[in-house]
Amino acid sequence: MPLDPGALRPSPHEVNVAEPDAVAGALASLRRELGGGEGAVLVMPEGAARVLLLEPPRGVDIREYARFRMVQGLPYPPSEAVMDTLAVARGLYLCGAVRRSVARGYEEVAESSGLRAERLDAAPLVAVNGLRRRAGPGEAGIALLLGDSAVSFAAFDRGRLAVFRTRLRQPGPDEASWLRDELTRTAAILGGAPLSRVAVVGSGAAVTARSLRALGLDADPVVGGLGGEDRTEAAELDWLGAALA
Amino acid sequence: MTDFSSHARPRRSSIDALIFGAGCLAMGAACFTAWQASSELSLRRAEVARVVREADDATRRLRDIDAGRGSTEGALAAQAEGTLDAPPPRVVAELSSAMPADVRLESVDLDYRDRVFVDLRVRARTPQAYDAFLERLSKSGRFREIVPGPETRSGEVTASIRASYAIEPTP
Repeated sequence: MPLDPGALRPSPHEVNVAEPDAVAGALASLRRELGGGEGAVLVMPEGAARVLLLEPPRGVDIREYARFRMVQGLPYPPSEAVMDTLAVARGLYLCGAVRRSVARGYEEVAESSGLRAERLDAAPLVAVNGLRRRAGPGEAGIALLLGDSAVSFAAFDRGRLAVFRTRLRQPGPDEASWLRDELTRTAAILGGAPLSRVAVVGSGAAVTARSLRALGLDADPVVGGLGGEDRTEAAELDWLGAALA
Repeated sequence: MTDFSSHARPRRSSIDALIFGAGCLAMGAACFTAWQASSELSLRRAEVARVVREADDATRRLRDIDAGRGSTEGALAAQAEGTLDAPPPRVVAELSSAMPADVRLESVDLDYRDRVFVDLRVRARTPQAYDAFLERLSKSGRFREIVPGPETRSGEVTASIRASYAIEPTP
């Protein structure tokens, strides 16, 4: 169900739902198409959550450690942060923080469309959760998680998430070059290994993958089992289905 | 799965589930122990109640024995006293003095208890003589609780009488 550009403005510190009526209307249409159910898992887009990959010291509770580490970089008072963690490997966690008012904005627009938010998740964590299940034990590569306003780089080494970075998107004709540079930096952080396979997921994955291939990278969109590059933009998000399954 | 809902929802992570499970086990063990203790306590209480009941029964039996012994002793004492104060010759003499000439004493049974009971079997020549005997017996002051028993009035009267003998004459 497409949304008008600007209806959602993903941001970690401002209310994201810029056009509540448009978003609620789209959600109501989606709900009708799905049969009129009420319970739903809401997934906030890239850019709504601050995400860090953390490895807490042995014996330290990850939630306490995540709060300690993440509040230092939040652009809002720590008391307004809703935090959660995803275990991606033994002793390694992907931690997210969302401003409570941002979360409430998504919940309220869902409620106004007749949906009941059973859970509110963040796209980067959902994507990593799905991708890490697909990654083979010896697999290495970088997943490019595309959002409308931000992009995340999730680097896997020997099947294990090793680096996670998020940057605001740089829309324009040179964005592919910028993405290539960021991918190269991510590979350098990973250990200087040559940039190998890139999996592109999220909004505009097919177009972005084509642009990266044009720059000489081994980039492919991840579209699950539903189709290839010629599918619609919405279909390119079907990794959500795999992640949520 | 992660959740960034603005309002807190109850979570159950694997560790929470483990702790929850351990808690359930601990609670189950505690309940079982408590149940065992309760059962043991019930058994002990039942045992104590049984012992107390047996002790009460024993006390009651002892009390009954004592009371029986007391009553027996009392009866024996009364019997002894009655024998002393109302020896058979005296009772018979008192009966004889109350008898009209037409009444004959056929048998006398003396029963010494707390009182002295007298069972008589008499033969009277006439009913009037028998009635006169009863009247004189009651007026003698030595005999109380006079209960005339079965009697036959075919010419002569044969009858049984039960009365108690008063050691001290009734005024």
